[in-house]
Amino acid sequence: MSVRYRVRHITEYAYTEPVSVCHNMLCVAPTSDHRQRVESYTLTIDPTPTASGERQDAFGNVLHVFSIERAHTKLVIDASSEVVVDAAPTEGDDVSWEDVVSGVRDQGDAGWLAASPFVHDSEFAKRSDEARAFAAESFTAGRPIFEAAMALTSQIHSSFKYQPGATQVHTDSGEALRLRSGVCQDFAHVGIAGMRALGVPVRYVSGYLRTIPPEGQPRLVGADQSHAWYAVYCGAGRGWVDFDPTNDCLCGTDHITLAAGRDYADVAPVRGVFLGGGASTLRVTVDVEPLEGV
Amino acid sequence: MNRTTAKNTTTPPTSPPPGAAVATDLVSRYKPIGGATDTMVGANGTILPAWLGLAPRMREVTADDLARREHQIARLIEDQGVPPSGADGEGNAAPRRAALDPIPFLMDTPGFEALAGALSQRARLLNRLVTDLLTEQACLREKILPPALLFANPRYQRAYHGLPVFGGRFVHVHASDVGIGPDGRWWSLGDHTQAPPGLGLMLENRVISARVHADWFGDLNVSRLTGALEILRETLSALAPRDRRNPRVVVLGHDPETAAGIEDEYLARYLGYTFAVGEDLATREGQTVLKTLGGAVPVEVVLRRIADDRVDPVELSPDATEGIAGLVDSQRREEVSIANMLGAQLGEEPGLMAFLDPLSRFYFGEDLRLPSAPTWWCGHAPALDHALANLDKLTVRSAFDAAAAPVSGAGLTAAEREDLAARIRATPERFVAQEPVGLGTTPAWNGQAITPERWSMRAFALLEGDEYVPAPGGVVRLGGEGRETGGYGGRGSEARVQDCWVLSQSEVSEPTLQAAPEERIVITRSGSEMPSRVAEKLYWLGRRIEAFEHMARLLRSLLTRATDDLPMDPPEGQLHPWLGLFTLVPGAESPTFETAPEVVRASIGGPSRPEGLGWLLGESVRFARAVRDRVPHDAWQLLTQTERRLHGAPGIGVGGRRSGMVDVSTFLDELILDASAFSGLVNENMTRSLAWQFLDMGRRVQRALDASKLLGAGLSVPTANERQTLAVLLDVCDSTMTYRSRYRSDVRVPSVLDLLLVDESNPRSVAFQLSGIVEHLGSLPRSNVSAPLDADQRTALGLLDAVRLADWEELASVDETGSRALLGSLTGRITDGLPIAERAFSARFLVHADLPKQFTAVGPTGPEEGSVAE
Repeated sequence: MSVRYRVRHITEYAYTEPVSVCHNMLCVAPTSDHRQRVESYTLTIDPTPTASGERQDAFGNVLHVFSIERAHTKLVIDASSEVVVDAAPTEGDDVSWEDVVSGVRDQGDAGWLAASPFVHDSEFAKRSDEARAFAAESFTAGRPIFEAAMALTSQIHSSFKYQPGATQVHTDSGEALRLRSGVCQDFAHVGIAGMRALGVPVRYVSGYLRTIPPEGQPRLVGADQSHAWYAVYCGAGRGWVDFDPTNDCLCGTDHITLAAGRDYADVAPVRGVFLGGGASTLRVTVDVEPLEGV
Repeated sequence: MNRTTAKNTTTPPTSPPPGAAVATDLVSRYKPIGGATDTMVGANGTILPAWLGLAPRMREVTADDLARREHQIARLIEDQGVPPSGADGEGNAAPRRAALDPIPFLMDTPGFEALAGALSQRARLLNRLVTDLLTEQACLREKILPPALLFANPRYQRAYHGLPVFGGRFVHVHASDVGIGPDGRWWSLGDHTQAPPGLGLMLENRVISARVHADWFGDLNVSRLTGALEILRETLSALAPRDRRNPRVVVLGHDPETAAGIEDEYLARYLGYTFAVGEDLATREGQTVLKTLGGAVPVEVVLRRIADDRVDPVELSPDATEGIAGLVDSQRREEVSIANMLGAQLGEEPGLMAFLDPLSRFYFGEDLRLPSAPTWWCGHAPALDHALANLDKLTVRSAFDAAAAPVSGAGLTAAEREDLAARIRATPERFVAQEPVGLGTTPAWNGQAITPERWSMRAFALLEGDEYVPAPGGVVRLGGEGRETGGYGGRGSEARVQDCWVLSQSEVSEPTLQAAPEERIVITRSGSEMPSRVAEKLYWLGRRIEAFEHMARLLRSLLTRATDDLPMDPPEGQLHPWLGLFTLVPGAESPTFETAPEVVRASIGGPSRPEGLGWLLGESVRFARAVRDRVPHDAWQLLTQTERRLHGAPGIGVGGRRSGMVDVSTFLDELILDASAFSGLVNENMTRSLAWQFLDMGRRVQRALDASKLLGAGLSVPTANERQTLAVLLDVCDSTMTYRSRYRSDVRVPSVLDLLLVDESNPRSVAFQLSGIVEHLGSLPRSNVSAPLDADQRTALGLLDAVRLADWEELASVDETGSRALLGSLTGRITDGLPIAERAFSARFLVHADLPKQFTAVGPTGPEEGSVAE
């Protein structure tokens, strides 16, 4: 079964003084991949950019680069899309995680080249003895990789405290591991660091999660949030499989993918620089509206 | 000071060293090191072909002569604004460059050609490799190169993929550090493909060595470097996305106050391009522009000297705020071309050196003619085992960062070696281990004799059409292996280098009549554009040098008073006539008459006290260094000489209370003379260009500020025996003679105020400065000619009018509160108003924008299911 969603992601910057010029790069367009199809996508930027362009990066994510070269005190980035998401995979080859690791390392696995960018350290997910020891609790000898990754996902969920405010947007895996608390981004980074320390290719996925309102209550519009998890390379037969350590589950029809990279830094929704502006305030609203089951 | 002093070998070279046989010459006494290939003396003791021309002349050269040449070199290097390494300066943080040895490094044509062909092939290979890594990745797919060497590189950026590549090349300038092993074979010890450092140093060395050794240089048919630089110029022009006949090319360099920045600026000047740092450039509507006083002008080609990932904070390293926001996008839009192309840095990873031989066969079916020093990339298990087992014999380097300092395993203790091994094991793919090649030796000057020293050479290959053409020369670095990878001109560099002369068999066609035939500057339209940053430095140079002169005059005058006046207690309730002026001396807390001289002396020494004499001079030198191609050369030299004088001042601030007063005052006299000479040189030698205007404006603003503060501090509260104060004021404002000629010895407040404040014919008066400021502001370029006066002009005019309209009798009168409130408020208005005018003027001309800020994003907080709707 698949589910169709309408997703709206609005990022709003308000400044106390005019910004004379800004240069930005956005990563807010969902991409079609092994789990989903993007059926439509529109991006509106207000004020209208002086120059803008769209491209795909080396990992297949859609990036927008734009500049606004006249004074403005407000910037609104409004991305909406319709996406059809598939159910979680249920079947696949049961390969041991060690076989996946050596298959990629020794270039025998059919997907070794595509997996290669995701086995190394990145800014927010760095291998360490601690991360390796943590992951090794689930990645026991000879265990099938799917099972091991699921176990690690549960392990993160049970040993970490979900606590907004405990970490920052730039907290790395090492600090999150020490704190044993954080938010989805931290959980994802910890899992990535641990698996990479064992040689497992794993990538960071940004996206959205469908929220189910409590029994008898209507869905609140705009009350959703961005989400993050990881996708583990489970060998050529099974490919990339997405796990959500925040919710201790396999990603299925509730998880809508935005972009994938080595860590948060690769897929930060907005980056760039601006001149002037005084103090700025940022507001992000996300709305994930399920349209129908397909 | 030169290297010999630093090495404590100041013995006059006129007397031969003890024990030396007087009859033998410097060449005969040269003894090569056994087992190393020497460039001058062959295995059987004969002079090698490259040296056949110079050796006989060298036999006639005395140690005295070489010391003289060395001294001359050191002086020429200092003239460039950078003391050579080894030059001493206590607490002097000035940038250093490598010292140039007075012996050239000689290669004959066959020797050079053997290297040149191999170097050219290596450059072609690295360019091909970078191209492949960023497009097809055939070398990865075919398993020639392990993917970790691309993906584990922390500086690898996704934005390097998919950019338009003008002319189809990533590498336009390549450099390799090469050396000769004991068997006479060439080896490469490492490569530079992002922005090879040392290109400017090679040119500078050549200009200096050609001048100092004009006698040898002229006779030896030394191949010129100009041809190679012409190739670079043509290649850069051909890269332009438009306007290829005369594109605007800028050199994007390091901070011009660093040694690397000074080298970049030298290169820019040599090539005739505008030197720019990141803040001088911007992108507008997708175009890359240079911010000049006249507005933004489009740039077609950027020759970058900074790292690939630092040029744009938007798409590359987010913290690279020194870069140009939007530059990558501008390149993608084919509005600007960047050389070397972004991503070229991937080619200089030391980790690649273990794979270049198979890569050469893979791409070209050729063996690598310039082999890499034997390299083990620790990301491969067998290589890791080898490296760990032989750590005591190998040199360990970063696999990714060519500039990172190598560690020689042999120099480590067992514990340190174990520590290194642990670090390698933790992230093996980040390390390579290299085997020393046993570098050869070349004759070098050690201060007393010519002795063999180990060497490596940074050799450059420049793209011409489809070929890489090696420049006939290079920067030869003296010293052992592992040294070659460090910066050639880095801060605190202790390096000593030689200029490589490639000797032609036939006469070199270029005329050798000029003293420095290499120093040819091609005028291009871009050379005359002044970036706003340069104007700002000139303005502050004007302000600081004026403040320095003023402070020296103030201190001298106070010192004279303190030694000449009789100690006297002022009447009850009244202030001592001139002690109040000490409030203008930073760090001097209202001294008594007794301690005044001590306070003066203490405030002379030490560069650390902000606004103090040493600090002001240091600031002047710093700003002048940043614009030294815009101020007269003599003025620049004078300034550095003054700085040396101030640092070398003996006994300032120590000794008895009255002792040595004369010396201090003579010393201040000298400083004042220097400062005046600087002004004279500037005024007599600088064309009345924008550069001069900004410099002069800074001076006028500072002088108006200083004079106003002086009058305010000295006169707004009347003191006992005010004649003494007035004498100080006239003296500090250098107007004593003028005053005497008008009023003889009748010194009174109103007439002094007239001369120092209102008289527009006195170049020291406040009114004179304000009138000059108004004039400058009116003649600078304006973006909107029809608009009414700009804010800075209105403020300055208002101040000038206030001074012109002031009645000096009224200003001089003391009101019922016992003060000269009117005078106080007028001088206060000037000292408050000028900074306001300055801010407006800065906004108009100097500061195009404030510092860029990074966008922050909200990271995903990741709802736990069901938690959001609470």
